Amino acid sequence: MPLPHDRILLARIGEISLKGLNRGDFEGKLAANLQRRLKSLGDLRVVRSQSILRIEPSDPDHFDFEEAIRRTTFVFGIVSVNPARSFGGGMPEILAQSVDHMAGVLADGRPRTFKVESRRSDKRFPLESPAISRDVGAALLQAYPDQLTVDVKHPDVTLRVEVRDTHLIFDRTVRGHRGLPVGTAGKALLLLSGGIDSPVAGYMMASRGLELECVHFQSMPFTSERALEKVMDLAGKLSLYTGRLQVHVVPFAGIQTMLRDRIPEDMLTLLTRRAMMRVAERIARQRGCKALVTGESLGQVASQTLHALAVTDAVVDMPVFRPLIGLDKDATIEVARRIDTFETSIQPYEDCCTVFVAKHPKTRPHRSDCDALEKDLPLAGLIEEALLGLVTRKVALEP
Amino acid sequence: MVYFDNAATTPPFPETVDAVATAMRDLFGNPASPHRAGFDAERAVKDAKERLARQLGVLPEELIFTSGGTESINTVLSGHLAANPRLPARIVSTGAEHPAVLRTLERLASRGVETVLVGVDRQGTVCLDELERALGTPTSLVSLLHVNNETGAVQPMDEIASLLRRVAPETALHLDCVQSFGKVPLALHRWGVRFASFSAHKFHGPKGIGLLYAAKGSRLEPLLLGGGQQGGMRSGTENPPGVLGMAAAAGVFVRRHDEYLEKTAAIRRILLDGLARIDRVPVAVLSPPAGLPAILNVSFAGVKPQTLVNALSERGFFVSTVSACSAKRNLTSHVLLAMGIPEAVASSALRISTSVLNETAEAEAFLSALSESLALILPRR
Repeated sequence: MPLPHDRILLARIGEISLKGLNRGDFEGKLAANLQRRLKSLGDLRVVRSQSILRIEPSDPDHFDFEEAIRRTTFVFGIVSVNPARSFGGGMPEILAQSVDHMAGVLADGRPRTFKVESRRSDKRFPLESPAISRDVGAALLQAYPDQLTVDVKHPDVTLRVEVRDTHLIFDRTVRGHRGLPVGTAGKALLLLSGGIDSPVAGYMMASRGLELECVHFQSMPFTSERALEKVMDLAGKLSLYTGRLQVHVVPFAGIQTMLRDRIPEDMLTLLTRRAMMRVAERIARQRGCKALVTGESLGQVASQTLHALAVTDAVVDMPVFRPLIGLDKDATIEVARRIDTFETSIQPYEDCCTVFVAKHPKTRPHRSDCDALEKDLPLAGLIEEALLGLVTRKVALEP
Repeated sequence: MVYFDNAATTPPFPETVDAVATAMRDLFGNPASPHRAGFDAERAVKDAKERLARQLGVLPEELIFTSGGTESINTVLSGHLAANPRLPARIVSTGAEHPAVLRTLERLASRGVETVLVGVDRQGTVCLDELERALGTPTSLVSLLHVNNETGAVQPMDEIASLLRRVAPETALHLDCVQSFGKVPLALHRWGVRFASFSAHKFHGPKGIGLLYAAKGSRLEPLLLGGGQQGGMRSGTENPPGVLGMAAAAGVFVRRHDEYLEKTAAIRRILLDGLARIDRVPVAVLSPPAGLPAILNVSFAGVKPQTLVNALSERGFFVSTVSACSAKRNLTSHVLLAMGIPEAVASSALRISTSVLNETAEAEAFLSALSESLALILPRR
């Protein structure tokens, strides 16, 4: 029979522990985000304790720790997660619990190298860290002489002992997605196309604590219903990090075909982008979003040259965040794979950005040329029409 | 709603729905169970099989229920050589087959079976001289698509059968009848067909049920092993709702055969007339004139077919780009390319496929929706 102890998860908080006076707000938000993402797994408490959140299930025997670990690593602000045993007492308890814990690690009977690392947060505890490590190591060697040998450089198992008011023992660390808790940096509107870049941009900005809503420009019949479904799938993947997402779907074919019929081909993409930014800004203001987020990367395509971006930004009066601006495509794809949006993004459905593409778009456009071209277009009316046709869908892959 | 995508699947007849519902409610027993509930289900399945056998002119024991065309095809292509290891490991087919055939042949080829794909001509008809040459080398199986699902091309089975009798009398013939059952004359015995594959949902039956015809005395290795149902040829609990739905659909379909021919031919005439009047964009009819009237493959030069499908779909008219099996992947049709149709034309192809449940008035409405859609899609400059 294992010794009585509490089975908990330790979620380690990263940079927010540095946030000075705001720290309480940040930790509170993080604990709330965590609580919301985990509550469907069963009754639990999230307790703040120094730079650690303790996740304590009420019924650990019927709690899916692995799923809880996975979900916890997806919550921005968490650096790492340790499944741990928690118990009280003095050095005899620490030794006994260490031996008991190691029994689980060694259950397959194979030999292993190990070391012990200790931390003493409770400075009243009579032994200092090196002494604790030494005594625990000796107890383990004595208990498992055939299976354990010491290796302090490259051990198979590192048993960590933290001496606090209740002590902690663990040997496993799962990395989290780091960042800042969603919702601590205000709210922004992500232009979500269905390609590889925009979900990555959304992920990156959400990891800086932004709450996101999304706008998607739909160009039926030039894009299909399946293309929209793909965007919803991407929003679903993103929602694993951000929590529930709202996607504002704007019917955009009217504006696009008007531009196609009336604008020189080499300016088409640019003016289309400007129209999108105008619509996005309108929605952002209605929804209380203080910035726009796009997946643009400098020089990636003609509409993403410095000149083109300047001309695009000129039509909006709020910050436009472009977290991918300095990344090359491979780096973006690497993130897309890591956050599991890549396979969805590369499904071959047209998106609004590829519907009408010129062979030789202008790469050094002038703002005055754009203004002149737009002067006689029925843009304002079509934008109102598009906003009237807006449909909002809520996406959440997990509770 | 006008449904012109009947080569992808057909809406069930009301009789099909009734038969499925009745079977689900009243015949839920496992046909292999030793009690009355099981026996009732078994007897209903047996009776349905007898009706299907009569319609095909074959013996009930020559029919195996499968999950559909793909499973029947896989069973024949993989199972024939496996059960007859002394036959030449060589299979002949064409480049214009359904992916169920092509992908299975690719796998067999990777396992050492020689697979030969003969060409088709501009009409989609298998090149008989090429076929004859291919059969000059001993071959265990020839697999042919009776009616092409993308173009409606119908293979000249009388000629093919006499060619086979003349040059390769030992070679077994598998006919993929998924698109042909009840639509064109089927003479399995006269053509010397050893195996044939069928799928219920192509003739207004339920999805997930099909037939495999294996002529008496032929041997196949089963694909699925388990409880030994259907004489060990296809393990897995039999599916009375599927079987009874399929039999009901087949019965109605055969009864309405003349109506089917008249309607689909009349609709085709209206569509061809209307297409000829389109002047916004060059239109090319890719289906052969002698093909199945119900399938019309048309190319609108320079128009992305998916855009046209979307525009029509928004207006409640359902047609398809190539086949449903490849539509989700945006591939240019291998069938059209095999026919020697240039890629630029083939990549703009739309498939309009009709059924006995369509009306001529729908064709008229379709034509106006089509010209409306083209007006929306094509630039106005």
